[in-house]
Amino acid sequence: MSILYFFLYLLLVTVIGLLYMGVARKVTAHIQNRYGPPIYQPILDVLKLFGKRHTVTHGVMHSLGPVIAYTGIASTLLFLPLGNHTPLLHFKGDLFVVLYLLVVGPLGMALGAGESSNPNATIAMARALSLMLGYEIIFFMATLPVFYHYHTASIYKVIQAQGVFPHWGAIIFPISFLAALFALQGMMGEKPFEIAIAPHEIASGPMVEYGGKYLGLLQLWHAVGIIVETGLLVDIFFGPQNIIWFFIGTFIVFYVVILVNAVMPRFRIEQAVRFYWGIPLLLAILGILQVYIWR
Amino acid sequence: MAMFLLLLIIGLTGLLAFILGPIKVLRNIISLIGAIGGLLYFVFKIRPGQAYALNIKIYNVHFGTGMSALSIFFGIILLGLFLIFLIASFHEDNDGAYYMFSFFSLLGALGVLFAKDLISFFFFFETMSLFSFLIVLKGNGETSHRSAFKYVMWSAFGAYAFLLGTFLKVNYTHSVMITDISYLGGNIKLWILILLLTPFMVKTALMPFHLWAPGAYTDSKDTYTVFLSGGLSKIGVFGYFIALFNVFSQIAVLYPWLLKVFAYIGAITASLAGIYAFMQDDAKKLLAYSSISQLGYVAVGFGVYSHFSVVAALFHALGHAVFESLLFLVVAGVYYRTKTHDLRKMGGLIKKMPLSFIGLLFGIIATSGIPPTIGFPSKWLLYEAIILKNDLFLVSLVFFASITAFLYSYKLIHSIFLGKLHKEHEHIKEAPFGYGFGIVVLLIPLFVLGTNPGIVVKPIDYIVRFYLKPDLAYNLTNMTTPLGHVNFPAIGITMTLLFTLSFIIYLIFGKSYRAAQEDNYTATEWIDKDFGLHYGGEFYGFMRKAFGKPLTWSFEKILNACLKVVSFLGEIARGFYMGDARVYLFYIILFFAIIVYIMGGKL
Amino acid sequence: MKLFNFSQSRSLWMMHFCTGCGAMEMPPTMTSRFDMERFGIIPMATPRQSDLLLITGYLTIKTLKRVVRAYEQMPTPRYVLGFGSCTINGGMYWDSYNVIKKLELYIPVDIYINGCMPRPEAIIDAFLKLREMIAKGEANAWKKYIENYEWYKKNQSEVFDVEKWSIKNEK
Ligand code: SF4
Repeated sequence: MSILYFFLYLLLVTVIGLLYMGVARKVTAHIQNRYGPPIYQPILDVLKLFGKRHTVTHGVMHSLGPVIAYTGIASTLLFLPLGNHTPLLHFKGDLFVVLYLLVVGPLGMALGAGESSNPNATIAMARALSLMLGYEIIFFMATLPVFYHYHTASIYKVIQAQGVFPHWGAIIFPISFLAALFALQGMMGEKPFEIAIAPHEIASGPMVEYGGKYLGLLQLWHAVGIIVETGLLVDIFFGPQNIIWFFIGTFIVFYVVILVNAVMPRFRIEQAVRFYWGIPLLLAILGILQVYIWR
Repeated sequence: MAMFLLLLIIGLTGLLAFILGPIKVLRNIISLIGAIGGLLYFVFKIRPGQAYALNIKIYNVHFGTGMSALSIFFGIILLGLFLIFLIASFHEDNDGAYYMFSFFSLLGALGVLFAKDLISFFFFFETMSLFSFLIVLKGNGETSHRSAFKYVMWSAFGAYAFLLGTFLKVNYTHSVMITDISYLGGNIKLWILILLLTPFMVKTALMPFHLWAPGAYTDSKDTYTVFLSGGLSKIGVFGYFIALFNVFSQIAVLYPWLLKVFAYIGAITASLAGIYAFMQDDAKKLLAYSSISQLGYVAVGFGVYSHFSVVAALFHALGHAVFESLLFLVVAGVYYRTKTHDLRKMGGLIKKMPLSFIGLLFGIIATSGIPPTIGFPSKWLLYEAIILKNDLFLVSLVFFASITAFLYSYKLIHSIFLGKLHKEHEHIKEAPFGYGFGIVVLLIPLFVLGTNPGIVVKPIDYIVRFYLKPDLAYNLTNMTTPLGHVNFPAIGITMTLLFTLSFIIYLIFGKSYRAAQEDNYTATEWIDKDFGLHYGGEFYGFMRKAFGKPLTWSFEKILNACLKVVSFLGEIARGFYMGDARVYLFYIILFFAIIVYIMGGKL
Repeated sequence: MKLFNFSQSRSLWMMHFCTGCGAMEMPPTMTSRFDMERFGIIPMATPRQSDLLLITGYLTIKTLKRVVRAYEQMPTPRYVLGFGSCTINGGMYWDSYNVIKKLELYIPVDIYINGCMPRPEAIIDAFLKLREMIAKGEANAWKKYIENYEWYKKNQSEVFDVEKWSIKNEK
């Protein structure tokens, strides 16, 4: 029974994530003065990709790459509370577990992309991992004050400790929240940090050799990734929400991200890393100082 | 007596191996029997609490040996790794002396674990350093002489600091036994502590003392590096424990700032070594820096100095022994087949050496600390311990270091196993039995302890509980700190379950066929089979730009500058003694002139 | 199967590979004025990810080699859209020494657009036509290539070195 519930839950979140992707395309189209595709377009895309008859693979790891990527993100989802909704595993989603599970996906994809012996893919992965040196640390430092303030490392407890509207993490720690928003942009790989994908430069990077069902799995990975990444931010900074408001919250955060994405050019990789070590790092440090002063 | 017998077994085996040197088979069998016998003897005969005192009353000095639970913990790591090293090393071309040296270095390391007084501690420590130096000297690189020299110089530096500390201690306490000296007055105990810590900082290659490590790790024979990095560096961790807890039980009260500095040194080591690691192009150099980086976490654990941070440090020491040895072993196996360590010259070996690939894959997963492997519990504990100590900057620094681990891990696995297969490697086979055996054996604790950390946390907790207030609740599979709670197998089970699910999704849809190596998207251009498509050189080259100048700074340069100053001064000093007659004449005149000047008035 | 056909018809990813001058008409088709993303048609970066290969105009022999390679790298089912008169009969390059006259001889084509050069309206029209065909399961030119592989290879070998250029592991 509970296993069935697992799968339904996963399916639901995946579909919602795909719809978010559709919305992103629609919004971008509107900004560019176009109609854009229907918002269920990504679902059709995924269906189509899974329907492809013959695809190529470059070896075992190349095939398993997307599988591992989806595994990683789906396990993260199960350890992440969606607002008030407790994580399915009765585990009280610990921050570090989530942070470490979050890198399983990129790692799986990195291994898969690496085996294709296409230098575009490897260059992209080298860029993606280097970018982590920028945003991961900012994200971590930005969320630390909240966890420190409520004296727990459990995401669930942090949600519960925040309380209703004026007691949200975002309002108590505005500086950290801002830093976390900066980090989120890189975490989701949207412009100006779209360095790893860069379709016009390195031919969509890690995906360069993936087609058919592999690309389909990667799309699913991306879809769940959107919910997990924005959801992490909503959980930590927007207090206890029921599941409806949780999704509205993630949507708002995601909306901000795609608005920035729509109007931004792309950084070079070293510019991006350096950018993160500038103002966002300063903000993150200020946020930590704030919580020290409060104590 | 059991301990002496063990040391005797190890020593005798070493001698026998030397004598039987030319007869390869016999030598191998003898050393194998010795190592296995030693391990079994250790596991079954040696118990904590066994002690033996040798009363040679020179100047009222007692010598003593004894076993603690900690010694057993480290002893098993050492002997286990030694066995793995030994089996793999039979594939290499070694002489009898090599085996004798390695057995003696093991003997020294075990002796350190048994020692209860500082003099025998020093003696065994030096034995270990000396023989591992001799082995580095026999290494295969062209620069091995230089590296070995560096290694022995740094070891000597540490050893003399230790000796000085011992003398100071004896001077003040009139005892060479490893006993508490917190009660001493004045600043002298601080000096003793720092002097006693120095050799261990050298041994674990903490940052200002790390310069020997990349060279020694790179230039020693590949299989011995497994033992050198995984095993012998643990002696340094053991030493931290001795110095911080046995010699100095109240350091947290007396010198909290010292611990803080220690923790920050550890964190900076972990971060900087991580950065250096992903800029290396030599597989073993990369691993050497990664080893330094990982041992930085151990120092952080000791520096934070709470119950479960020390548990984390010891657990991480064990984890390091497992995954770092695994990585070194795989690289050794790859070297055995390809005869190169240069990451730019390898690639695509996954199809030829699948077992090695699996070994390296899980090795890097553990190095990065991803659950459910052995790397995760210790890192998790460490983070929570640091947050509990209210140091958010330290925890950020440690987190930064753990991100660098992803970078160098990926570089390693990609450059060796993924990407394009080179033409000259087309007929390569899987690494031979000795390497494969070690890989399989090391994979077991990697997963078992990753999902059931309680197995090891229990004895570690039993050791640490004695010194620090326990605040970690655990059982076989769960751990609860005041901050959070983790159920380790749950992570593993979830991942397995979801992996199955995604794998089923993968299986039911569409067929796929295997593409040839050249069948890549190259902007639809045709490429030659030998065309260098592998992205191996200048991996992360752009990070050089991102870091800019600071990356070019290094301790080595500072030391070289010091060297220049010293040799300049030396040149001047030499002038005093070895100048020609005119110089002496000049000195004499100068001497008289000064005398005349000083006495001026009175003359 | 029907579902797949339907989703395939609604989501056509095209290979961003501009061969001839007809490609000039693609930018207005993609951007605000005509907006082909309405129909789920977007340009993709690599042949691995694409369903639709646009041959936008004349093909020199030099380009043909690359086109064949790209076509063979695409996963099946895959569709080809011949664009402009040049792909049908050579168009204004009917007597050129290095331009192929009939695209159909070298790779199977699902649908042609007439004109030199076709307006974006015509292109959109072709897309919609192709979409209908796919939904009904009629656009099966890709099967022809697999069935008559030898024949296509023979034709190709008359203009370039097939041994060197085609992908060996083709099924
Ligand atoms: S049909 Fe006309 S527009 Fe198209 S490629 Fe030929 S010449 Fe150019």
